[in-house]
Amino acid sequence: MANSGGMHSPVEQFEISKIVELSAGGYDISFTNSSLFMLLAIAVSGIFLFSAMRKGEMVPGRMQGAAEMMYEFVADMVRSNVGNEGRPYFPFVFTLFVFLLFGNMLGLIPYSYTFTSQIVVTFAMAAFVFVGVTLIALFKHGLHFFSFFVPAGAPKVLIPFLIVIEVISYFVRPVSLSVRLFANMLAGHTMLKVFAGLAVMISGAGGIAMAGSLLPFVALIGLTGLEVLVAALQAYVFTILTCMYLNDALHLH
Amino acid sequence: MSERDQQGGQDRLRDIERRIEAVQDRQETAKYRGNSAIPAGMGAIMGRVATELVAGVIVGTFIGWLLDRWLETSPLFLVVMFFLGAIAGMLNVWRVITGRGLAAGYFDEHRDSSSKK
Repeated sequence: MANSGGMHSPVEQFEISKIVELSAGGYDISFTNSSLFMLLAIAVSGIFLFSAMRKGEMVPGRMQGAAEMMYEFVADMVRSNVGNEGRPYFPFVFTLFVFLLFGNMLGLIPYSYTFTSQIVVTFAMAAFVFVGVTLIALFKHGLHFFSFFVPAGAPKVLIPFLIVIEVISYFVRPVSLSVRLFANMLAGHTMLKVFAGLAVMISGAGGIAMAGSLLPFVALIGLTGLEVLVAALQAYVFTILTCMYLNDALHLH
Repeated sequence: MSERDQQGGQDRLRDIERRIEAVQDRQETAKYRGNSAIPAGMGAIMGRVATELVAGVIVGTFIGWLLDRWLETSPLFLVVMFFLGAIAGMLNVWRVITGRGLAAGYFDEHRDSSSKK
C-alpha cells in the first residue's frame, strides 16, 4: 500500500524482521522479532508463575490466586475432557495454554509482535499436537486404531467412499486448528490497525472534520476490548481441542 | 463451656460442612464427560465453523494433488479429492454443531446401536 501522508499499512505489523542473522546448513535460522516475542512469552509466563507461587501461602494473594485459577482451569479442562488417563499429559496442555495465552496477550501491547498471527507458528504447534496424538493412539491401540476410520453401521457399498472422507476429515484437524487461531489473530490485529489509521487520517483533515475522528477512535476502544476476549478465547479453544483429540486417541470408540 | 460457645461451634461446623459440599459440587461438574462431543453452547464459542469447511477443501485438494504427482494422473485425483474434501468439511461442520464430537471418524449413535445388538 502506498504511504499516503506518512500512513502505515495495516499489515506492516506482521512483517518479520531479523534481529540477529544466523544460518545453519543453508537454512535461515535468524533470530527474528517473532522469536523474540516467543522467548518473551516464555519469560513473562515463567516469571509470573514462579513469583506468584514462590510463597505458596495457604490463603492465596492476588498473584497466587491468578496463578492457581489458571492451573485449576486447565486441570478441570483436562479432567472433564480426557478423564484420569489424561493426567500424564497435563503438563503439556498447561504449557500450551499458557504459551498461547501470553503470546496472544503480549501481542496486544502496542509496538509488540503477535507470533500467533503467523501460520507457520500455529501450524507447527497444531502439527506437533496432531502427530503426537496419532502416535499415542497407535501405541495404545495398535492397528485397532485404523477402525477409527470405518464408520459403523454404514452400508457396505459406501464404506470405501466413507473411509476416504473420514481420512480427509482426520487430516483436517491440524489445518483447522492452526487456521482458526492464526486467522482470528490476523483479522483482529488488522482491524485494530485499520481503525487506528482511520482515526489518524480523519484527524489530519483539520478543522471541524477532526470531530469525525472520534467515531473510529471510540470503535477502536471497543475493538481492543474484544481483541482481549478473542486472545483468551482462542488460546482456550486451541487447548480444549487438543484435549478432545487426546480423548479420542486414548479412548478409541 | 457456655451455651453460647457451643452454639457458635455448631454454626461453624455447619458452615464448614456447607463449604465442603460446595467444593465437592464443583468437582462433580468437572467430572469426565466420556466423549469428545462438544457441550451445548460450545459450538458458538468455537465460532467460525467456516474454518472447518475451508480446511476440508484445502486438505482434500492437497491430498489429491499429492496423489496426482505420485501416480501421474493429473488432474483426476485433484478434482475427485476436491469434492471429497468439501464433503468431509461439511461432515465436520455437521458433527460440530450437532455435538457428535470433532472431526473424528465415527457416528456415536450408530456405534451404540450396533453394540447393543
